Amino acid sequence: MIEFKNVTKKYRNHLALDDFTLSLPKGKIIGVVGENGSGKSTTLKLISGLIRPSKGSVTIEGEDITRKVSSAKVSYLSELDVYYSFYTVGETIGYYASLYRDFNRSKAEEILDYMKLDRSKKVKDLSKGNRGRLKIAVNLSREVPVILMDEPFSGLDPMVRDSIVKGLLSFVDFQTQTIIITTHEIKEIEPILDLVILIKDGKVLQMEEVEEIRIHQNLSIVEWMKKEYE
Amino acid sequence: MNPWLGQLKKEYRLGKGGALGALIALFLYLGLGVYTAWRMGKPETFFAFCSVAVMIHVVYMAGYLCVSYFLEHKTMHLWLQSPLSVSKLLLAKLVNGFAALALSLFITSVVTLIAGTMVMDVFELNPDMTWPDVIYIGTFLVIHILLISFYIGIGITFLWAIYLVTTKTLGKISGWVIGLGVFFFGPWILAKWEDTKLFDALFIWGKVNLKYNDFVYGIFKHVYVGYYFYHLLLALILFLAASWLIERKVEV
Repeated sequence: MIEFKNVTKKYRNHLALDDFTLSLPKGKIIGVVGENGSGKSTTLKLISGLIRPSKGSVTIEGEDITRKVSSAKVSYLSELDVYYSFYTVGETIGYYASLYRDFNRSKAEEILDYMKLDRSKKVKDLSKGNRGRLKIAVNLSREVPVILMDEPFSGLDPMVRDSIVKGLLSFVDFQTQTIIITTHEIKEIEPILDLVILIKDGKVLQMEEVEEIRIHQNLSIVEWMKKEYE
Repeated sequence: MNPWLGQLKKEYRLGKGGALGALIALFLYLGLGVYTAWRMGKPETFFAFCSVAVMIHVVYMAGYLCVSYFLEHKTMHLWLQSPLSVSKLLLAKLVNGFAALALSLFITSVVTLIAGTMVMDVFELNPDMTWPDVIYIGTFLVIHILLISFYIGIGITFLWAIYLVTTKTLGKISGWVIGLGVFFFGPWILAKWEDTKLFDALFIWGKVNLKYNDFVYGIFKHVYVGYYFYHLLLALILFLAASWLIERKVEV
């Protein structure tokens, strides 16, 4: 479904991805893990069309990813904790509903209720946790084949993290949608992951089914990660 | 709702604070004009304040867009994730800036008209001047201020695109140096080009004589349609180039 073919990504003097080749299947929850600066966010940004490969190609359903292709097929949640601060929660949902034809307004309302978000509250007055919840609501309300989440748990307390994980299970259509998550909070999402990709120094170190790691290798993802890194 | 209308509304909300701030500054400035004229006992001083306020609108769009682009910088990833093309995204900013400019210029023009005809009485100073002259000159000035301001706004948009591309590829300092280089040398190169015979042959056509009173416009008796066409073309090229650069070269 998503293919990286010999992708190299350079930021001026820094090599973020190095001859990166990867094929991601459809309808799975995929975790992208690795140490800081390993290339996780770059991988997601390439799929989102926000950056372009220096070499190689990234395709989604056979199409080269551009900003236009990605905006129709990918919902991207950035690691950055910023939204339009002048909007209220309800207005933020309204704005995205006007922007994307695939935005499911009733699903968004359902998520807002589930996350207990006050629609009349200004985004700038929300706590970090509630901003995180709002990001999730916007992200999951789009009916697109690929949902990208870059560090969705970063800086959030365990209760918010738990509500996000439960939200994923409740509001994602696993028949048609693929979720790709980068995170350092591996334990939180371990129970829901199907596949895990380990990245080191801009290269794919290993890609494994979570079931294989748990049942056959009898390891947690963190233990597996440590083993592979050594 | 049409996605572009949604974007237009978002740009309205983003720019509202800056536009209101500019309006408050305008009223404070005009208030200062009233106070100065009263202290000096010269009503024409207020007209001079108003005239400067009208002319300053030439850089209104530049100011509006600088604020808008600065604010957008913080949410660039959200802006570029939009399903709209960059040209539509930029157009939403330009349309909002133009509406704010038109409102501010309308208010200032009305105050200036009142100052010129009632406070100072321009008809007493120049007995040849008539109401149609005032309307004609005023309309001519307002239309040109709107056009020039919009034009400068497109120039600023182009500079922003250059800045975004160069800072990402070459670094912040290089981005500023190149941006400033284009800012200072661009108009200089264009001025050189506009001095050539080829330019005259291509764009100096369609002479239109203006009907102004010589007292007011002794040095500005005619305009060329071709010259307007040239600037329209240049504005279009700059806008499309900015859209292309951001669409294809900017990364966040």
